[in-house]
Amino acid sequence: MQSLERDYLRIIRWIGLAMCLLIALAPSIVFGVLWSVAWYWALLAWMLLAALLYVSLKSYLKHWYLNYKYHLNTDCLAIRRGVFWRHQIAVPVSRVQHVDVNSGPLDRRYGLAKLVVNTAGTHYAQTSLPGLSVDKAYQLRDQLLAAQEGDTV
Amino acid sequence: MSESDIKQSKDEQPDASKETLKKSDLKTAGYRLARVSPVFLFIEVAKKSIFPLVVTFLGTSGGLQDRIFIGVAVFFSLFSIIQYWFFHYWLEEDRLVVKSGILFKSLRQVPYERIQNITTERNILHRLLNVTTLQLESASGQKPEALIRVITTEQARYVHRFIADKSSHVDRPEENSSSEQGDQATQQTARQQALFHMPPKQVFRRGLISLKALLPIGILFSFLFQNDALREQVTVFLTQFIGGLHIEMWTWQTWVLYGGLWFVAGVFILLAISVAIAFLQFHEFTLHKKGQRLHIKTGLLTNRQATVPIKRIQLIRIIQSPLHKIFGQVSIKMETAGGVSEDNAMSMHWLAPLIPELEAHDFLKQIQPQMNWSEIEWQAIEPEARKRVFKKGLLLVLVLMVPLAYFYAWWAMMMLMMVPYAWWYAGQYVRKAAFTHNRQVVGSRLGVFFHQQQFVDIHKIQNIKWHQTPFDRRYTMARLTVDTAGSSVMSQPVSLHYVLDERLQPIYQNLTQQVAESRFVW
Repeated sequence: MQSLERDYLRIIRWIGLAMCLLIALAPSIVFGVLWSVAWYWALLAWMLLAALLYVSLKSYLKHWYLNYKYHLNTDCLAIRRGVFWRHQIAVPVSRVQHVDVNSGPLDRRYGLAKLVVNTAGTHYAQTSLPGLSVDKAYQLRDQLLAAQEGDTV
Repeated sequence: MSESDIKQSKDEQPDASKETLKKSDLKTAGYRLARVSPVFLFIEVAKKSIFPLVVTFLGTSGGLQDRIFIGVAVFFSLFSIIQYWFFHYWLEEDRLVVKSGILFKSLRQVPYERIQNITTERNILHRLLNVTTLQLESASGQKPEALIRVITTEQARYVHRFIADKSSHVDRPEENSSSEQGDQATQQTARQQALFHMPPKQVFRRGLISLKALLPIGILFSFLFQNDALREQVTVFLTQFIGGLHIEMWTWQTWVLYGGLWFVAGVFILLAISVAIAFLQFHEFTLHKKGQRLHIKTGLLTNRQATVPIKRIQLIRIIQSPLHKIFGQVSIKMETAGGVSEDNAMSMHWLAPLIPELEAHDFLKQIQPQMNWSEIEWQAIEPEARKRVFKKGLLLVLVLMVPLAYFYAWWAMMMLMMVPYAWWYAGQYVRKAAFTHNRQVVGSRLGVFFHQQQFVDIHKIQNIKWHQTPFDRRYTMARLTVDTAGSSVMSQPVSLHYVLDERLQPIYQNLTQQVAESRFVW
C-alpha cells in the first residue's frame, strides 16, 4: 500500500484553515450584531474560534492523510481511506471505462494531480485518488489503460 | 406497402429535404414521419403536460393569471407538434441518420452495429391508423438512440428488417405480424413455447396484489382537498348526503352497517381499478427465449414488444410483499445495462410480473442456465445485529416523540408502546436478512414485510466497496456493497451488512479477485 504525496497534507491543511475561518465567521457576525460587541472583540473571538477549530481539525487531517492508502496491481486499483467512517474500494482494472487526470490551482502549486477512475457502475461510478505527483498520476493512468488493451468493448 | 411504395413516398418530398440538406454533404433524401404523426406527437406532449396542467388547474384558485399561464403552456405544447415537419431519417450503408429540430437542428448518426434493440409500440390508435412507434436502443446512455413516432407499420418493418440484416444484435421482425389476428391454434402453440406466460387469472391476481390504484386515488383525494372551491363543493355534498341519512338517530348497529358497507365499497373500487391497471399493463404477458435473447410481449390496449439480450441483464430482483405471500407468489424484475432508464415507458423491466414462488427458481434457471439457482445457500447475518437494529428503531421512536411531546405533552409517552414492537422488528429483520456468495453470484436478502432478494452475476460487478462506520467497528462488523451498471440511483444496491469483519474480509478479497479475472461484456 502506498501513501499520498506529503505535499497533499499541506493542501488539505490550507483548505481546512480556510474552512475554519469561514465557519468561525458565522457565529462572530451573529453575536457581534446581536450584542453589538466592539469590532476588535468580535475579530479576536473570530480568530480564537478559528484557531480552536483548526487545532482540532489538524490532528484529524493528519490521521486522514496517514490512513489514505492506495495500491495498483495487475488486477485492481485498491484504495483504503477514512478515519471514523472507513472505506475500502476495489476497482477491477477490467472494469475501468475511462481515466481522468485533474489538477487544480492548489494542486499545480505543489505539482500534484488527481486521478479519477470511471466505471460503468451506478452508485459509485467514480473513484478519485487525489494527492499524486503528476508523474505518478500519468503512470497510474497508463498502467490502468494498458491493461485495457485487447479489450474490444 | 412494399419497398417500391417507400421509394415513391421518398420521392414525394424531394424538395423539402433537398432544401434542408443542402448544407450538409450527406446524400439520400430522408423519409418522413407518417401523416398521422402529429396526432401521436400531440398525445405524447399532452401526456407529459397533463399532470402539471391538472396540478395548476386544481391546485390554484383558478384566477386570470393562472389561466394565462396555462394558455402559454398549451401554446408551447402545440408548438412542439411542428417538429413533425422537421423530422427526417434515412438509412445509409452502415448507419441510420436522424435529422430533427426546428431552431436547434440535430443530426444523429447511429451505426447499425451499435443498435442493440428495437422496441415497437402499437396501441389501439396505432392499430386503427396502421402505424407504429419505433425505438432504437444502443447499449449506452439513458436515452434511446432514436425514437421515431410514428411511421406506417409497413415502413417500420422495412426499417426493422433493414437494420436486422446489417446488425448482428437485432433479430428480424416476426413475419406474421401481431396486427393480423392469427388463428387460435398458432396462438396456442406460441403460448406453449413461451418460457413464461401470464394467463388472465394471474393478471387478475397481479392486480389484487399490486394495488396500483392506491397512488392515483391518493393523489386525487389530496387534490380534492387542496383546491378551495372543490373542497367546498365536496363538503356541501357530503353534509347534504349525511344529513339525509339522519345520523342523530343512528344506533351503533347502523353505524357498523353503514361503516362496513362504505369500507367494502371503497376496497372494491380500489381492487377493481388495480385489476384494470394490471390488465392494461400485463394482459397476455409472454416471454420467449430465442437464442441469447428474451422477447417480451405485453399489454392490452398498448401492445409493447421488447427484446432484451440476456447478457445485458445486470441484476435480478425477486420481490414479495405481504399480499404476494398470501397468494404464494413473487414478482421478478431485472435491471439492464445501458438501454433506457426506468422512467421511459417503452423499456421493459419485468421478467415475470407475477409467478408462483415455487416456480421462480426454475424459471430463472431457464433464463440463465449457467447459474446454479437451486444451489444458492443463504448465510445469516450476525445475531448481535438485533441490538443495533433495535437501537436504530429506538432512536426513531425518540425522534418522533419530540414533536409529539411539544403538542400533546405527556401523551407522547404513548409512543413508548412502540418499543416492544421495535424489539420484535429487529429480531425479524435479523432473521430475514442474509447474503450469498459463490463462484457465480453475489446476492442479498432483506425485508421484514416486503422481502427482496437481489442477485448479481460476478461478471456484472463494476466495483466493490467495503465500509465500516464507528458503530460497525464497535461490534467489529462491516458492510460490503457491489455496484452494477444500469441500476437507478434510487434503488438499493446489493449489500452485505451486519457481518463480522473477519467473515467479510475474505469475501472482499475473493470477490475482487473473481471480478478482476472475469470480463465484462455489454
